[in-house]
Amino acid sequence: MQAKAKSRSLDIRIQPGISQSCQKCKWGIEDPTDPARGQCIGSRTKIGSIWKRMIHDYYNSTCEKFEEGEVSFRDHV
Amino acid sequence: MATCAQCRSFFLIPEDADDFEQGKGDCVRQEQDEKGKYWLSKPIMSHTLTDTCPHYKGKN
Amino acid sequence: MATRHESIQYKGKVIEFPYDNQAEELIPDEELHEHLAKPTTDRTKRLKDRCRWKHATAGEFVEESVRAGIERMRLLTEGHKNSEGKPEVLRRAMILANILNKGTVVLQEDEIIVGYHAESPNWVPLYPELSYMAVQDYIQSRYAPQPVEEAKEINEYWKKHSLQAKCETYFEPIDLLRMYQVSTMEAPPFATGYNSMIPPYETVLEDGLLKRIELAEQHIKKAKEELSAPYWNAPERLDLVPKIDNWNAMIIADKAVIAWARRHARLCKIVAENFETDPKRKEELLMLSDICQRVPAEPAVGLRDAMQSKWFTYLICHAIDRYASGYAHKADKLLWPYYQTSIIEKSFQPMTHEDAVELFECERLKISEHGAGKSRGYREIFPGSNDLFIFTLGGINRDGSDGCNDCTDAILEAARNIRTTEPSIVFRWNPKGRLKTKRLVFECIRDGLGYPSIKHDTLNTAQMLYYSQFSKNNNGATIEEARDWANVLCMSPGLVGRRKSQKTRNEGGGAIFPAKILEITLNNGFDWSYSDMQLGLETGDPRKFKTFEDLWEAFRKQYQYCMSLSIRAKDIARYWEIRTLQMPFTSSIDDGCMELGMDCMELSEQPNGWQNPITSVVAANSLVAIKKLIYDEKKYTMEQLVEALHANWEGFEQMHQDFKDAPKWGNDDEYADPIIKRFYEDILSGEMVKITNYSGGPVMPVGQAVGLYMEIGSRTGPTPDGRFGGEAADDGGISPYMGTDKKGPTAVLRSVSKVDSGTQKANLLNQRLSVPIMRSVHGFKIWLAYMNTWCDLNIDHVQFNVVSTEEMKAAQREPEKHQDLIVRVSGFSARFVDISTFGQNCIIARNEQDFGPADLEYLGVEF
Repeated sequence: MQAKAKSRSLDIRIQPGISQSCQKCKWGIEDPTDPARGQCIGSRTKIGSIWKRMIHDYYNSTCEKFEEGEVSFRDHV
Repeated sequence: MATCAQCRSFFLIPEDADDFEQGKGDCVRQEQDEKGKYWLSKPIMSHTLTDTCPHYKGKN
Repeated sequence: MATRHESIQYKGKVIEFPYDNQAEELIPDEELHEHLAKPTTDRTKRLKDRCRWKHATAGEFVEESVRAGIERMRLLTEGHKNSEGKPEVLRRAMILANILNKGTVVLQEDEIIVGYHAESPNWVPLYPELSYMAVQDYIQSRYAPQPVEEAKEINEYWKKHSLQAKCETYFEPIDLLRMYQVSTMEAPPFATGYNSMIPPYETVLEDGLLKRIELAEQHIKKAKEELSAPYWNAPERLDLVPKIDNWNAMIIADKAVIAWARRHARLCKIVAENFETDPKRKEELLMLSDICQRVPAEPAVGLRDAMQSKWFTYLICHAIDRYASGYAHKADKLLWPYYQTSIIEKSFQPMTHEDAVELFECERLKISEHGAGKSRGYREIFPGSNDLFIFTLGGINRDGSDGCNDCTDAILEAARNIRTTEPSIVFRWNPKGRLKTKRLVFECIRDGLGYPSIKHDTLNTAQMLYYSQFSKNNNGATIEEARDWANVLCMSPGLVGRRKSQKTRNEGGGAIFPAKILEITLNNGFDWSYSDMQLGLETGDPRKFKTFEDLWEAFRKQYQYCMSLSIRAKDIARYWEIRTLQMPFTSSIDDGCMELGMDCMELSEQPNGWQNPITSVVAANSLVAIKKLIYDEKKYTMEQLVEALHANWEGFEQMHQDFKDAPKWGNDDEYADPIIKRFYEDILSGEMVKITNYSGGPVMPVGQAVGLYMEIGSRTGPTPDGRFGGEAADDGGISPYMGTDKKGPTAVLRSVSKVDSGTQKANLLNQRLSVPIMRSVHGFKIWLAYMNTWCDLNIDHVQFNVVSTEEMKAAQREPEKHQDLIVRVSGFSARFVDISTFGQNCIIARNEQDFGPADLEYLGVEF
């Protein structure tokens, strides 16, 4: 299906041992069930809601938008 | 070497208590933080050495 | 100045709306809630000021001082290792005894209900025997138990022995991944450690534990006599062996609980005699010492006994033996005999009604600082609150008489006066309920607490009887027992009392998310927007669906897959709970377990199966829009819709507007409502009831939301109702989507009443009412008329936010000045300033319902 080609997760790539991993990124948070996985909360819609993406390998993934730091709870879902 | 029996926080458990054991006592400490005072009680044996206990205070 | 509601022309009269309390007209709208708290005594004011809140939001604890303690997990592991080789149920009793005998006992200044469940009143305990993943998350966090190396070692040990480890082996990795990512279904309790239950408090208060020990001893004696009688008969007698183990485990557990309570008695006495200088407090501590010496060993006599005994029982069942969310009990019924003794007859622990109110305020504060060592997922989905603490009031008694009494009133007064987010209250609405109590319910709601939420008493009693017919041992609820129910958590009722109450979430609980299920149905089961994987069945390319029914049936298959998997996961967990997570203390206080010599994980006399559809209205509104625009009017094709959704509507603005303008739920709409009624009855319920759970009964839908309506919204792409990707879903059960119920409060009631309540186990209805109306001289009259109409329409549930947009916006600007602003999120209330900005905006976006002349006429209001 066309859907597969339009996946939103394509820009998150697995790179084993990456120092700038999603786990260290401001926009990465632990998956609430399995802490080996993560969620990216860096994508925000026009009206301010967060459109999450799942990070299958939280410690070995990264993307071009890596930023260090922490997000205040005010900016979470 | 001091033992718990010599500590101000040590209170021997009375013989009629359900959890009585010879030499067993309650270690009762008062704590305080920004929210107020509270007391903690943990069982301890009287002969326990206190050399690693930061809360030891000898009885007067 | 407060805003006064404009006058209304009604039946030839001009109706004015001055405030009921004139002084309030001088309080600006922006700060009303900061003027409403009125703690009954100086003590409860002090206790509230110094409360060790455990609120969480966005997965984190709000207060800096909260940490995870290591003590429970250490003593649990020590107990597990030391009891190796014993029958499992005895091991469980010995583990509990190890924790209670060696763990720290806590006493705080000023309190008159004592007891905590970790080594510091700021900390929370952990439960590695349930889920190693949940503990791993704590170990990685700033709350990590210390020393952290020891914590890691303990968790490593439980990776082999935990409930999670035992259950995972029965599932394919893909199924685990689909469940664990929580977007079409909630993760199973074995992966999170989350649980809920109703302890049979009644037996503890009425009998005392010494009596329960005596009963178990008698059963053992009789069983041994039977075993040794002549003419051995294995089929008849061999079952007595595990029963003897169960009774012995009950005795070990009960003795340990008595000894632990008496350690509190000793601590109170030691502090009175060695630390306390205030003579009044010394006297109070000696009184508390006497109480803890007597209860729960002996029956409670006065109200102070009952409150302390209940609290100890709660701590054991919900926090020490095992974690369970909730505070389920029918509080006014449970406490009424002791209220009568202490307040009316004054024959033991004499006190005034005001003293009782103080005691109930203290209980609320005790709950407010109770620390739940729950997983990150559950710290995320109750934003602005601590945990789901909910108890029930009102309704009718077992004999059919009015269940409201002066104790009900004292509990409501305490809630109104002290203003805490927890515990939430459910009020069972029955026409027999006295007006005086209903007025107090109104006052709590009018003051913006968001509770009591209101449940239809007759409907829910009938539901208990419905479930009883499936009882595996033909001992389901009688009519008297069916009248004795409380909500287990936010929404679903369950029996309370001496036997037959629910003991595990694997019986009922857990969610399923129709909005995400629809999203993947529109993508042949693939999740393009969140996890980039095949998340469900391959049910076909929707662009090839010829009719709306093709889509309907594809959705049905996806939904059934998730349902069957979810219930299978819970029942497999139940299988292992029965074998490795027995709860001998809880068993000892259940009359059924005591009589039959069975553990409470195994014995299920009253089925109570349910699962919570959350985000149903987004899915339902989407189906309405698809039917209208694609299949009926043929204005767009499915191909165009799929393309527009994948573009998050960008470049499809007109199409987006058309889908957004399609008829929506909650407007008494002739086109939308029949489709949505069918969705609730044919799919949400129709597919669930085809499933039979461990207890032999059907599984039914409990529509609600908790904070998952935002979380799942953030994991769900754009939907055909006009939602953008990531936006919140509907805020609960059968509630209209925020801002789309545009035809007034009575149109909402008419829509909701079209779904047959008997097909659903529960369904949450959120309504936001106008502050100036509710605080006016006519507020109670209008609300009462609304409630009576709601009752006549056979609607299961309703709850209200009564808070102005002005005040919420002021709190967003200056949170430090609005600590007392409480809002209803879903089945729980939250402190507004502890919620994320997005969550706050979702509350603000809810439509504030005003009452126009047509509404007042429909409700039959007379001025």
